[in-house]
Amino acid sequence: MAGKGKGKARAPAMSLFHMPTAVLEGLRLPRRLNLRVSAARAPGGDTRSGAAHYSTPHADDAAGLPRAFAAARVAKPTCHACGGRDFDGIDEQRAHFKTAAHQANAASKLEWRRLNPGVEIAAGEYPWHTVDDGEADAAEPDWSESDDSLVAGDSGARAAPRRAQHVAADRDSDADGEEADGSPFLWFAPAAAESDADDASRSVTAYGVYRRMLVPKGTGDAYVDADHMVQELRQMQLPEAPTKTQRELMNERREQAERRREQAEQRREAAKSGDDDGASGSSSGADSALPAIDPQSSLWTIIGSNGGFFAAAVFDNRTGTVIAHKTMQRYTTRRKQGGLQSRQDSSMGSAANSAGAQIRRYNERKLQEDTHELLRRWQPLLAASTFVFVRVPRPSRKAFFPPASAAGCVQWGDPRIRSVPVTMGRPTLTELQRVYLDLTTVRVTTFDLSRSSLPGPRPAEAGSAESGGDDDDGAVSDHTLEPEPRPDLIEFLHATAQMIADAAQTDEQIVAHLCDNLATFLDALSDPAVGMRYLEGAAGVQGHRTPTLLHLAAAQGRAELVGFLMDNGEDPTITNGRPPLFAGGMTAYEVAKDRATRDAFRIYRFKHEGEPDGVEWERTRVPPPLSHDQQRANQERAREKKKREQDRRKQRAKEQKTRRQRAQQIAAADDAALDEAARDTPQQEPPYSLRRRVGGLSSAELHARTLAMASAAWTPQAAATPAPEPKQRPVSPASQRAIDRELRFQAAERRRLAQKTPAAVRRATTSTDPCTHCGRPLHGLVPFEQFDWKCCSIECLHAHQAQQGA
Amino acid sequence: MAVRAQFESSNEIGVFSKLTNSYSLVALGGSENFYSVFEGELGDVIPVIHTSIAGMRTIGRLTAGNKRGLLVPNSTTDQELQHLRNSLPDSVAIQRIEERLSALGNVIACNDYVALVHPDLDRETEEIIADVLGVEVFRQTIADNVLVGSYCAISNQGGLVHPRTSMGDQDELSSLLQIPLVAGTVNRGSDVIGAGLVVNDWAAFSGMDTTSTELSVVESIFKIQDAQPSAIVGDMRDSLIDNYS
Repeated sequence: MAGKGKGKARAPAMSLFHMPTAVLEGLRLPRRLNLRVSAARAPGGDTRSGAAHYSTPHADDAAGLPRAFAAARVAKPTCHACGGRDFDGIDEQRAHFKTAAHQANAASKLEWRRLNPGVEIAAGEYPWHTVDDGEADAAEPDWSESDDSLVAGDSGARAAPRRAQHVAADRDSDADGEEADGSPFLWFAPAAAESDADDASRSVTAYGVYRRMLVPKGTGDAYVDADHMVQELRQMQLPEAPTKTQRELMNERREQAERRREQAEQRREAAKSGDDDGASGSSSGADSALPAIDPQSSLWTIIGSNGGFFAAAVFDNRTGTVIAHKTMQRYTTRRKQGGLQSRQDSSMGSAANSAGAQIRRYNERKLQEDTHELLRRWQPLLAASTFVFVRVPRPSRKAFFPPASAAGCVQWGDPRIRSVPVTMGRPTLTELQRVYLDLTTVRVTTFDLSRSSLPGPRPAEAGSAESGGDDDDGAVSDHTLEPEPRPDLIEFLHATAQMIADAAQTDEQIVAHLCDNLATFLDALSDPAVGMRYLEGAAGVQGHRTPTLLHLAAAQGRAELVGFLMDNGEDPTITNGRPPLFAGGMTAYEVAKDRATRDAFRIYRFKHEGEPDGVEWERTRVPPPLSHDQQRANQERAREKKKREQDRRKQRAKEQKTRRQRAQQIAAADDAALDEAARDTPQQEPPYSLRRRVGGLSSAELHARTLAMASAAWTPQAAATPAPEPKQRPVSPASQRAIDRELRFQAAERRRLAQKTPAAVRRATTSTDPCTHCGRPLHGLVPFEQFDWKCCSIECLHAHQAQQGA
Repeated sequence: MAVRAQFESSNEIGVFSKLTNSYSLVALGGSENFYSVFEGELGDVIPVIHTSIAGMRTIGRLTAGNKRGLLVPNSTTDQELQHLRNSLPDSVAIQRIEERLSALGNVIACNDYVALVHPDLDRETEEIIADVLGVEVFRQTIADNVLVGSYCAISNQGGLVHPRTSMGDQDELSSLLQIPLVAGTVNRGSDVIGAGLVVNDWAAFSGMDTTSTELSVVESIFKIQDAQPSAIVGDMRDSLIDNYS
């Protein structure tokens, strides 16, 4: 297995479980050393965050400058890298620069610099390791000959900086942060070091072990029992890994190969039977039977799960090898956007319904099931493990372990479960092995106690509330005694705030009230203990929005109060952001209710700008000051604008009126025309008498007319409607017109219907000819027709046919 | 005379140009403004050559050279090489270098006598540098930075190095190069001197952001326009301290 090979290759590193007895004997946990290490981070704060690289230019202190410019001459030949050597001439110096010793020294200088960024070197101080010309050739390989470059660090030197980086990276990467701050390591040193610590000239070899390996869970940094820690460390020691004979190794290898073959076969069979649910992964040993646990050894389990990748491995601490491992991968995170589908679902209002989303959701659930299944199967291994290191992103934590109801499953509360105290990449077996190696390696460092005075205990440790969690306010309490504001002043301010908030109080009343209590008011405003956001806790006031009286007055639109308050020392630069002068918040001006209030601010600025110890007006965000003239001009303009607006409104009303009138006229004309038309039609109606107009009408028309008359007479209601009683129901002219129009329409409709009378009827009535055969008049009869013959009866027609010989 | 210039709104003119005592290289730009600044200052003395290296315009960082020669990275095309050969004076040797650290301008800082190089440069490269440029080569760091070409600008008259170079290092370098050195900045506090400043024995060009104080330091240390380095300590001291603190 890869793990075994790797573990052996890195064997030179001192393992946590196999510390030499010579080292372990008399090892102590010197408090002083651990304090020192945690405080020895870069001066003036954290080296990583924010602090500039030491080479980033910054303004030199004035004292350094003359010295710096004194260099504007050719200095005498020296070599800084080799411990400040002086040379007699430039040739000697140049020759020296080509020696291997110099190059080795320069390399170690660079190395030292990388390990100690931000550390200033005093003149004449050469903290890096230097070698002399003689020992150089053997000491270190030449730069260009070595395979690894100087920048990458050669293989021997690489281990150290890499570890250093981890130490640095841990602090920010490890979100779980069991220890509140400080080094992730506990530094052990020989007992002798502690006793002689006062001797300023000695250096101490210290052994660093991850704090989390030893400090019980949850206690954090609060208190570390030194004796207990040492005891723990001793108890962790395991007997040497058994050395195996060649034969045993060969047998083992053969067994492994066999087992692998069997598994491969099983897998193939499983694949044949179609039992493939899409998960890709690999496992060893654990699939069929759990590996045997060496009773003389201890186990550590490391589990990582992130972004659809899952990896878990059980390590045998005695041999440092993987005895069981399992990796799984499923497509659960959204491509490109990242993040779990479930998180996306919960963050969006409604869950996405795309095919991809469903696949991811399914896979997520499946991965969880698989994880539970694995953990259940590994239960004996987990139970036997002394530590289970788990790295799981916070959102997936809750359901990571199988529910407690499942028999005997480990849970988050288990004291053996620790978070991984180092940065971890994507969970793979290799990564787990790297983490294991990192965790189990003991760091060896030399501390020079003579250099730099030991710092006192950190302020954080002075208080006992270190483990109490962060201050969410962002304001870190440093346990200094904060002055308590006088309660009567606060009470007065709150009462005033309520007055201002009360709409029933006029500005004059409030000003009078404040004038009466001017001494108290001024006291309150000038007392530093009162703070800038003194209305935070006031009842009946939105303290977060209007943290000061000035804010409140502005928000209430009390223009007269604004000037008064500012006169008496209210600071208009305070914002309602957090902290009080944070530019993100709103100043009193910005919360002002209306133009009058805003103008009050501007006028005040006009009056008071340029006063020697006046307000920083830029920060109040009050726009350029407003003189009285300007204000008057503004008002004038506003009035004009209002007038213009009014005029425009009037004009618009007038236009609307004329438009309406025109519309009415048009409607009236329309009606008139319609009436005219209606009147015209009835005028043609009167010749209902056949006699008068019958000559001018076709017989069809004549029939239609008569029929229309008849039908009109036949429906008396319809005929009656055209004359509704005006007395009973007074009708407006408009509705009268509508009714008339309706009636006219009905009449026209009737006429149209009347013209649709059946053809047979029309034929019967229209015929005025006599019978072709017998000469009887056909009026009122339906004639029997053939060719142009019209007969009164079918007999007549037959007779006529016979007569004509048809 | 120290002149301010800008290459297409970038102040890092050392990236886009190379200046030596016998020739000057200028990147192909969108406009001829940058070129004409160089041409105006140097035109009648040394050739100002338009070129690209490996199709890229960052020629200042890719090449290294002095009055005797020009080193170009292996990625330089044959065409570019031919063009350079045709445009450079005959006395200037041009050499293509096969080197892993191919941004030669960043890893080599040289004047006509001495070259400081990145500690990891190949032995062969070191030899080529010594042969082609006729210089003595020293593996060095500037303020513990291995990119010696980026963090300093040197001429035969003087040199400007990274602002955080310690006094010890400055002394050491100054005696090694046999020129006065001063730690300073260009482009309003930029520490990448090599990118902000190109300089030869009688002319200096620096980014448009360079303050007048920075420019006068440049003029003094590089002895441009008869300004002496001692002026930095004498005449300019007040203005410098006033400005810096």
